[in-house]
Amino acid sequence: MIKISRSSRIAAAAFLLFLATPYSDSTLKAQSRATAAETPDIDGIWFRSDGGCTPDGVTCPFVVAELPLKARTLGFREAFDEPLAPKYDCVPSVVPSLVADPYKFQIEQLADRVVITYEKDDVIRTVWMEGHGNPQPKVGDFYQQGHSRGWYEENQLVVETTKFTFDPVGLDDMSNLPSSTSKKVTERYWRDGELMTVEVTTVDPLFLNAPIQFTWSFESSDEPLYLPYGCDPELSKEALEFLPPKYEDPDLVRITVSPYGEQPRD
Amino acid sequence: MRLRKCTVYAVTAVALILVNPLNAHHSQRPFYDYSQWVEIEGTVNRFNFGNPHPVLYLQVTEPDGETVEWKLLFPPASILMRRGWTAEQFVPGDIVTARGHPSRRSGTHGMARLTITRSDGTVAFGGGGGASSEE
Repeated sequence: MIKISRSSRIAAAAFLLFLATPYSDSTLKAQSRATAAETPDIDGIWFRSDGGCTPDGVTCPFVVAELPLKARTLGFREAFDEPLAPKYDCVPSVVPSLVADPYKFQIEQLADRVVITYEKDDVIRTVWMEGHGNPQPKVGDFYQQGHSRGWYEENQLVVETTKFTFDPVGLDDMSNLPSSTSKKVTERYWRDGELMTVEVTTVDPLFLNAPIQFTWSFESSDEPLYLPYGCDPELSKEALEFLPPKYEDPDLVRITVSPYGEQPRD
Repeated sequence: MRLRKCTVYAVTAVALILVNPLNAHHSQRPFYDYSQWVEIEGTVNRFNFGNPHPVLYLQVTEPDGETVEWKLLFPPASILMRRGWTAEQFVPGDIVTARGHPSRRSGTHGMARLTITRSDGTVAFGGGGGASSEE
């Protein structure tokens, strides 16, 4: 009879428990997916080193006339009325526009997630890193900021965000280009010397014929974020009265139904 | 798969953001007539210092004697705070002169691309006579 020592039995039990735990598989994936050498140090506060979008002169970050927009996108934009934009109700920007906004943001690289805090609109995004058993959205789950998962590869942080709600300005909130629940935004962050570069690629088969992409560089900042942003809906709407109306207010439509089936006429 | 890139270079973009301080929230051209200039003098009713745009409410007496309230919009408070601005930057009773592009919709009293000068001649905001690179 083979005699097994108590310590060996404990070790074997621990090994079996390790194999059985639901985290074991994801832990191995995390280890194989990235090593410390593949992880860029992008922790800190960043600001745009290459200026801001200038919708008064040229559309930005995209040149709308060059975008591969579907006909329905152009039709939507043509019909859209500026006061309908959610920003006038203080609804926050979403990616890709959020990345191009001229505000500072902070990146915190934690073990199982990356947290990105934006000065603009008080947005806090959580990027759930693969391999840590983080929660996954279900089929019917959609979010204003989408659901972001991330991983490290080749010295880049890759963030893939899906599960957005329909957004009337979700492709570009300056040019009023909509996005669908099929929108997928892939952000790649890497260090380029003292700079951090971000490449943002957006696909949306409902509104785009091909992916669109822009790349920005950011400098590190020692200044803190000015929070809370505290968007004030009163202030947000103040300029709307200066805008000539695109549509006239509809006249009152009065429909009176007679109990005898006749429509009374004036 | 064809990718389209938009890369904006530092000098141009920084220059443009300086002359388009309100663009962080929305484009200005649909709201203001950049072909026109107006100049007004008025008394501060109140200054609402917040995001996305602080607003200065100015009581102005028109040439016909009618009193109207102008609304002057500024860059985001979070940007102005970095320049040391506070909610007391303008206080009720201050007399200022404002120059800029008027709002487009008839009957409204708004202004963009502001230069604001205090009654003692100091420039409180803007400068360069409101000129911009797009003129």
